[in-house]
Amino acid sequence: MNLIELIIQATLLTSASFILGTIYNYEIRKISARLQSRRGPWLLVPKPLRKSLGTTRILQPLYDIIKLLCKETIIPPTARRRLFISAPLFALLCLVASSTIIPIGEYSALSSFDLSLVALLYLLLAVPFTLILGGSVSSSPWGIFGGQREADLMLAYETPIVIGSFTTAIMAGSMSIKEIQVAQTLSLPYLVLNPFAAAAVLLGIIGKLHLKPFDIPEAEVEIVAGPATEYSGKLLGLMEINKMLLTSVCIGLFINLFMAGGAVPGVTLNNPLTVLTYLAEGLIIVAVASLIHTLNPRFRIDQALDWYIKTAALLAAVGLCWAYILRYIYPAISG
Amino acid sequence: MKRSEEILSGLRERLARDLISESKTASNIFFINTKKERVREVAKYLIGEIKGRLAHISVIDRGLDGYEVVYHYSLDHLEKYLHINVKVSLPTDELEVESVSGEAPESSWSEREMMELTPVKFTNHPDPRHLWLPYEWPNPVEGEEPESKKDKNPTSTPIEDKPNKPSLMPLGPYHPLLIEGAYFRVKLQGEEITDVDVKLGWNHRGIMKLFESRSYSRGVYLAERICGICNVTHTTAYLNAVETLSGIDVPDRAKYIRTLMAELERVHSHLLWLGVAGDLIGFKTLFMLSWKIREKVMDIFEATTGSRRTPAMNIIGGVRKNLSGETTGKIERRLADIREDVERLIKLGYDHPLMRNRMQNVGVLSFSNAVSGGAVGPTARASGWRLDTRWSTPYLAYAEGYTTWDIVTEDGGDVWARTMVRLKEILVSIDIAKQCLHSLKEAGGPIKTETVDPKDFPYSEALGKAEAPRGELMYYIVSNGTNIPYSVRIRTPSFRNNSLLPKMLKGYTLADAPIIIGSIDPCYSCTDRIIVIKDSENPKVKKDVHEGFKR
Amino acid sequence: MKTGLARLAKELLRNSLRPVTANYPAIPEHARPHEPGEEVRGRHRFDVEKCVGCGACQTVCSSGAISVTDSGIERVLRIDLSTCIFCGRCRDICPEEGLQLTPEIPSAQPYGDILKTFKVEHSVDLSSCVGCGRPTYPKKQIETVRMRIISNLDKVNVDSARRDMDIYLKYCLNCRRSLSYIFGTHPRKLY
Repeated sequence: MNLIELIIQATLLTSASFILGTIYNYEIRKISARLQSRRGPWLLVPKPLRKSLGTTRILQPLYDIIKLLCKETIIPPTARRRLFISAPLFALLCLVASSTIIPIGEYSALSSFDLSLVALLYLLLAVPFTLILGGSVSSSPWGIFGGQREADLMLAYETPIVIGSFTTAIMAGSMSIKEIQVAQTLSLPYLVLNPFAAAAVLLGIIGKLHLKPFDIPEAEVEIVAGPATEYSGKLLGLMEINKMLLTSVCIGLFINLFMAGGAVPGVTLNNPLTVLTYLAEGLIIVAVASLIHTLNPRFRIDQALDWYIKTAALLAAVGLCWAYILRYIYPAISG
Repeated sequence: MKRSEEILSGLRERLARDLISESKTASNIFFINTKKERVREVAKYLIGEIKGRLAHISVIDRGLDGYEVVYHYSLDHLEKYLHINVKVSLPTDELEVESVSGEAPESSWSEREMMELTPVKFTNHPDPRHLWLPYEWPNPVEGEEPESKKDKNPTSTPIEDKPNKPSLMPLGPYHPLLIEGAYFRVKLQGEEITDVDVKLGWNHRGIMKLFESRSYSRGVYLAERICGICNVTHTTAYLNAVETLSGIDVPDRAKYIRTLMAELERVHSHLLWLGVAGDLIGFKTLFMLSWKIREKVMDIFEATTGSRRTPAMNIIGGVRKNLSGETTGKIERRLADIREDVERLIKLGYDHPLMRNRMQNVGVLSFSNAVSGGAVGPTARASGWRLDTRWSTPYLAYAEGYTTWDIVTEDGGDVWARTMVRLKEILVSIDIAKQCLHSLKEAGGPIKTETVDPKDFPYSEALGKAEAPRGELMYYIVSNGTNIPYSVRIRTPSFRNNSLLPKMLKGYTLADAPIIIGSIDPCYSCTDRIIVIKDSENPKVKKDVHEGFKR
Repeated sequence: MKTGLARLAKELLRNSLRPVTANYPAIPEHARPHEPGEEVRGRHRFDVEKCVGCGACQTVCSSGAISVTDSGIERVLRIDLSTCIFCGRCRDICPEEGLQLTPEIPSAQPYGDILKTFKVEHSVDLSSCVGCGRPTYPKKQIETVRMRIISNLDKVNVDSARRDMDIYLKYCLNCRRSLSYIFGTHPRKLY
């Protein structure tokens, strides 16, 4: 496709990614509220209030972001101003770039080039770095603490994600996300073939999205708000936008690597209905993640590292070995 | 020979000629006057040998006669109701007495408080800094340099690049971990806590002064509003003191109703604490679950007394409202529901792997530290010390002939032990409440005595104790014959438990600090009650002090 | 250990169908909000028939929220709900059961509305002294006192009491003092 089509599709993909991220975050709030015997934001607003509130509040996280963007931004005078402002901007840049690499169904702006998986993992690695940087230059001891904890946690959760993703690349025989997606339609989805790698990547994603039990860098009773303590107003709105995009990119990565990108028996990849199946599968994964999020308290950082090494990294290693074993048992997977 | 006789004769032997006078007010409450040079010996005898407890030190202003320092020794875990109060009179020109914190480490905070409120000075005190007043105010004891001038940056140091140097972190006075204001200056090495300094006083409202300008019957409503969680206990302790002072005997039916209210309040307070503890380890679901059960307890309060908190049932001489047979039946059914829910909750929490991970072996308080530091309430019981005011000084319907129950203790002294003590206490409280309801159905009778005449308050003093959900609460009321108290001194349980925090926090990480602080159930509204100081100088905060605080 | 998590998950899933909070304003039956019971101590209500304006509620008020002001021939009793602590002592001490506490809890409102709604007022008429014309006591209070004395005295003393009250209750205290020689109640005249 030519450049103009590429730009249009990239813009559409990024906006769709943002809206999807909003819906996923809404779902986390709604499910954890319902499990705690309360109601979350309304899915269907009661009739007397519809005039003032609209029919549904499913985009409630978006309204919160708009509220934040309208508020005053206060930057502490002893913080390093340029780094303070550019840290979330850089994260936004990385996330916009990664959302153009994740395909939604057949619409994929840039995911078909040869090493798109590597590029995606590289861009996703930059996001926690900007969080650490933003926390450290904000001249607040809580920011430094949050940055330290994020650095510790990053070592923990990146390992299963990277090993699990490369396992799927080995099974499909290519480092391009589009080819991994297509390879799954020829055999079974990798969720079924290699559940170990799928579990490892899912657990890593739960840590990356800072859902409990791994919301250690954002623990408000211990370190106020971690790296985001001194951020307010427009910059905080920017950080929230990053959170939406990160949710959508991570869930999209899981769906494309393990669930054939939305293709189910009856709906091939070329069918526009894959967008709906993509959304449905995303909602299911987020439901599982929010169940885990509601059931657990927070880990302490040393306990989290311990747990990750003993459980998730082990699962990822087992998945890697299993991929090699499968090559001998099920040679339909190309070598 | 009874234990009290032994102890008193031992005391008389040691004091010999310095024993000025001795009197006995109620059963087993003794007041002994002596000279100020002998206070340390008395402390060594009563704490070191007899293993008693020093509950509080009060200083009463007697005008022209100088000041009177009263040492309240609680020996009720040795023999029921036994208290020995040692009084020392200080003339106006010699307001110094030696500190007893060498023999009784638990007295150091009481002496710090009294040094700030009155001109009495306790010499050789290991830590005579401010406890309640801001650090920048001049020390009323000697007019010394304000403390902050010696330490240029008392709240936070600039961020150091070297990772090995310890840094000073301010936890508070404004922090999401605390419900009320308190200030913990934590010295950290990486994430490990090496030292903690506790400073309180952000919630003071001048309550002790307000008591001195209100009659006894109005004082009940003031006592109720000192704390939002333990209303009934404060009124119970206050009324125990007032009724001892005026010699009133509360009828049986009123005793049962008061006990029922107090035990329901203990259930509600422990459920509230469970929710807050869950929130402090990040477990918001436990918060929602336990507060859902607490709503049922509040419904009982609302249906019988008229409001969810501040039930206002206790008045001098009895209770205000009677409970009909229908109401007691309803309460019984509700209590059975609540008991089922609590048992299910205990099982859920017990088996949850992450909760035990966060709470076990964290914040350990050993038995010897608890005894020497003067811990009270569930904090003491979780370290293996059988200490409960309802057992040692039975008031209302906790005595032998009225209800049967037992103290809950655990070993270990960590946060998990304190959690388990509180959860099991909920079940014991529901049991006591059921027994009270059963007795209420059978016993009839009046619910209050006749009205109280101001002439009935003699010129004397009284001690009233109650077991709050957090520990032992003590009121010391001095009357001057009118219907307005002359002086009221309150010793809350959180006052004692907070002074043990530095020992509990050392060696654990910053991530454990919230749950350790939360596990003693700190109620800063109860703890901070000071009066404005008598310093006549203008206590304006100096300008250069602020420059150290710029961030 | 994992069974604890499974049990908790089952409990939570059971909770998800019956939330405890209400879906205001459309409230399903099982989540109906709690109506305050009749015991709840809320907004005060003066009974227009029974309140005599004696001011006993003001003397026991714990926080000084009740004020009694006389102006002209009217006595206004005003309760300031922002100072009131809802302890109920005023209701307990009222001798005529003229002050009740209803279950309506005064709730948060915009500040302009609060200035209008956070007070409860009641006014009674004062009777004026026949001698000097100044206002004395509320008419209803005098009437109630008279009825109560008459109904409580035994037959021997009722007539003389009635005669005395007919004269004295019409005058204020100062006039009664200055007219005591004429009335025959001056202490020196008794000797």
